[in-house]
Amino acid sequence: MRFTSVFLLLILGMQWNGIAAAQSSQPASPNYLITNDDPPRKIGASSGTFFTIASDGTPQNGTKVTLGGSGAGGGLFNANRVSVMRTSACAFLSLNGAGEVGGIDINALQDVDNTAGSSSDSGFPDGMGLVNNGSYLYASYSASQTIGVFSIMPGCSLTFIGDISVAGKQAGNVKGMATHGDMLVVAYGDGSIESFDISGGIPVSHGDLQNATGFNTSRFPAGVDITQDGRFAIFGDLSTTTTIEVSDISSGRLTKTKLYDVGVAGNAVSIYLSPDQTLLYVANTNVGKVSAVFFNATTGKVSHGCTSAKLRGWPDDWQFLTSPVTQLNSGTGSVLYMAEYGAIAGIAIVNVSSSGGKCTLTEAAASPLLAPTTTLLSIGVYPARQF
Amino acid sequence: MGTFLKWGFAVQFVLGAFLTASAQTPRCPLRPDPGSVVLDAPSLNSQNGALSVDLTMRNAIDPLNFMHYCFDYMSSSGLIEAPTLRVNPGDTLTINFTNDLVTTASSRLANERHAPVHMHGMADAPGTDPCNSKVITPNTSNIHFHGLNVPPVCHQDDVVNTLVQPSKTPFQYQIQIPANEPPGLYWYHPHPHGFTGLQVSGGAAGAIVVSGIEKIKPQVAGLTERIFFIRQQIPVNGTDEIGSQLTLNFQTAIYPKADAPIIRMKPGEKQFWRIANATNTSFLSLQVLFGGVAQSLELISLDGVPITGDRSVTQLDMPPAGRAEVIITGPPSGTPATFIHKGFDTGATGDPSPEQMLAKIVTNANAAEQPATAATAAVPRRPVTPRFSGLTAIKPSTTRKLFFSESALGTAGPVNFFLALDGQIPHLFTMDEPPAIKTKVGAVEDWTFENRTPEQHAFHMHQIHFLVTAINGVAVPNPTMQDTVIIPHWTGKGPYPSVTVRMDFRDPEIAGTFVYHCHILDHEDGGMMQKIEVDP
Repeated sequence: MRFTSVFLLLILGMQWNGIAAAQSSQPASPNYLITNDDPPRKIGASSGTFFTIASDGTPQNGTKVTLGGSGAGGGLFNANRVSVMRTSACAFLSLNGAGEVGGIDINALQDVDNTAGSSSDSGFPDGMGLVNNGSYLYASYSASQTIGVFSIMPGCSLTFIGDISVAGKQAGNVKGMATHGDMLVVAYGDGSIESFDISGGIPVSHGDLQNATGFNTSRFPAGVDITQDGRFAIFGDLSTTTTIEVSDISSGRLTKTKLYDVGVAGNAVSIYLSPDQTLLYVANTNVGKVSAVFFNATTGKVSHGCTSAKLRGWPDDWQFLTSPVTQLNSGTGSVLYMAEYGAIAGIAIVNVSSSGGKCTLTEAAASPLLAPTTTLLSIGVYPARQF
Repeated sequence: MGTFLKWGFAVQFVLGAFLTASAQTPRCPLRPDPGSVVLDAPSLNSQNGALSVDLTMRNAIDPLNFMHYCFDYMSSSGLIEAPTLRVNPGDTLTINFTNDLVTTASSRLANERHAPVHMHGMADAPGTDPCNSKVITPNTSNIHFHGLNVPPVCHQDDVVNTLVQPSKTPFQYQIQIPANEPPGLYWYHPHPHGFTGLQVSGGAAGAIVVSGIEKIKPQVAGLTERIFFIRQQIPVNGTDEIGSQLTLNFQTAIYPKADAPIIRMKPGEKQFWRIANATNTSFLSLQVLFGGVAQSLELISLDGVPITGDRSVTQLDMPPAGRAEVIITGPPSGTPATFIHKGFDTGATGDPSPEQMLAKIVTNANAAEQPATAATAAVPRRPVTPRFSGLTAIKPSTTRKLFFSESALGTAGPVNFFLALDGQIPHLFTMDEPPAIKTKVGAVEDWTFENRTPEQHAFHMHQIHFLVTAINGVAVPNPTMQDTVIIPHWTGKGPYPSVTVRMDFRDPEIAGTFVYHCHILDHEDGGMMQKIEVDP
């Protein structure tokens, strides 16, 4: 830990108790699909775009919110650059070229403020992933190998409170993060994973840094999600086959992961659990497809599901597929959105159907929606999934 | 894709130590100014069946912030870089190799990039025996004799175990050029797994010419010979996508950002050009243009092996590490002429390889000729069976299918690069892993490579050449012996592109364990490599 101000944490913690109560009311804004436009640094100011969502799930009427700062124009697939609060109308977007985080008031569609980490925190060129637990926002700075911690203030502003240096067992930087309550789970992309106690804001390692089961066969966890009850941490592997690893974290620590090889659709670094936790979506970036695998939230078991056809435009118009999120916060989520990065780039729209132990993933007729930039890597939705 | 290697950090960590030393003694020779006449590297010729050379590997940062890795040779006229080594079949080549790379503390980023996944089982501290050092750092080096059909053993052409750490004590390589080695262009370069790209992009690459090609291709006899090495230099803090530049015999080729290198010829003069693609990542598509029109090039040899029959081409497609030898006829007086790379489609995720003029060809009736250098006459030896004889007609004893695949963590990497046998789960290569393939001396095998990625790859086999027999299942009309071949990228539609080659393991001299890999050096450093064991 480079900097910790216990006093500041106490003050901020007290402030937050009030904020959470004030902001937990039902959101008044329409549903949005939110992009972090993340243009290359030389292009200039970065922005986010807020699309309203039609009844059939098609994003439309994008409103651009200029953030200033600068983007990175690419980087790690699984550094989620959009983090939406579950209890208030705040979205945070990483300004990867500037090392800052922009806070957006979703009700007003306005940039509240941009907040930097420490002078040594750097996320360029591979980007900064964001995740929040309602009280704090965590930014993984890929270049400096630090996690910056920001206290979430009223009105969607942030206050930087400190950072820690982190590294995987093989010295990898943070590739994926997820929170559940006071637990932060990290995947380093080098084969190792680790969890942290974030009850005090600044992460404190649980001392469970370990190589996942897949490490010995060159499957390296990179994406992370956590079940609603906090029992299982689910990891999407960097792999040429689609492998998922599950760790039972009910003890508050990571345990040895169980590896599931669920097909040959490709790289599984970007994952997202459906709102009803029956499906785990996997953006198979290397082959231009998306998979859904069945997940049993009671046992943590993963089983074969379904894979889409190649999504339109791959690999000529776009090359990388990341950041799956769903339209709805119930059931399977109904419609799946993903960022398509490349020469033209777009937002993939895929209809999900699941019943009787079978599923289908069908690209919508309106897909892909032309993305605001060709360097789109991260999208989010508002309201956010409630876990 | 690939371009996950970021040299910047690795270079920065040598910079501090280097600056102190560089104030006293130049560690690498100065490289030519843009717009100057392109000169060949000085040649060292074998004498009485032997060539002995002292080479020192050094590194430096030039005034324009490009990193240099150089094979230094102290000649009677001063320090020169990467001399051309000229030998005859049957000669003994001895290189006393001193590693004078700057010693530094371990680099965090270099370790992150390479140590974690490739150095399993390696020791924590250098061993004293370069034949069994088991340590690879950015300052570790060695020499690979690319294309030569020589034994894969320490002190010869071994890169699996031979790791030379910085030391004042030279390490001796001694190789007997096979008596039936095809006459042609080969090359030497470092090959420390994980850092090959770093050192080769710094310029550590030189020519080996096995003499006697005029005996097989008499049309080259008496012609002015030129040796062109196209390299790729990378600035400190750059990558092979950001800031990298092609160079021609160490002269920057970035026209119009700077004056183009100049090749001088007499009008209408025929010259014998021996060209090597010594870049890290660039697939090259070379042409000679007169007034914008691509000229016919008489193809003599590929990868050091003279081709069968006569063939003319207007374009040379060369993977990284490929060599081509051609006869070119100079332009008429007053005709604008250029030597260009016309650009190469490397696939959706391949590193860009845009069009670039490499040199202007300037005619002058009084242009000074580069002498057609030849090694001294070979010591008479008993007749030998030509290498690769009868390969086309032999029924292969085994067929294998291998595939290239990748998985990526980000748009700029890190990317995991895999080369695997069909049916295997791909895994990252580690230096201590067992051979993926075992075979025996005498075997002739057909291997088919599938490219399951949207980018081009370049398959290279150590120790032997192979016959390229089919592309996408269609027989090649004029099969050629090569040691490196382009594996076309997958477009995302239809079956995976494939290349089929015939491997010739009949030479007992190549028994041992060696490697094959993608010669995009980022990919090789990143793990797109396997071992093969050839048992006696």
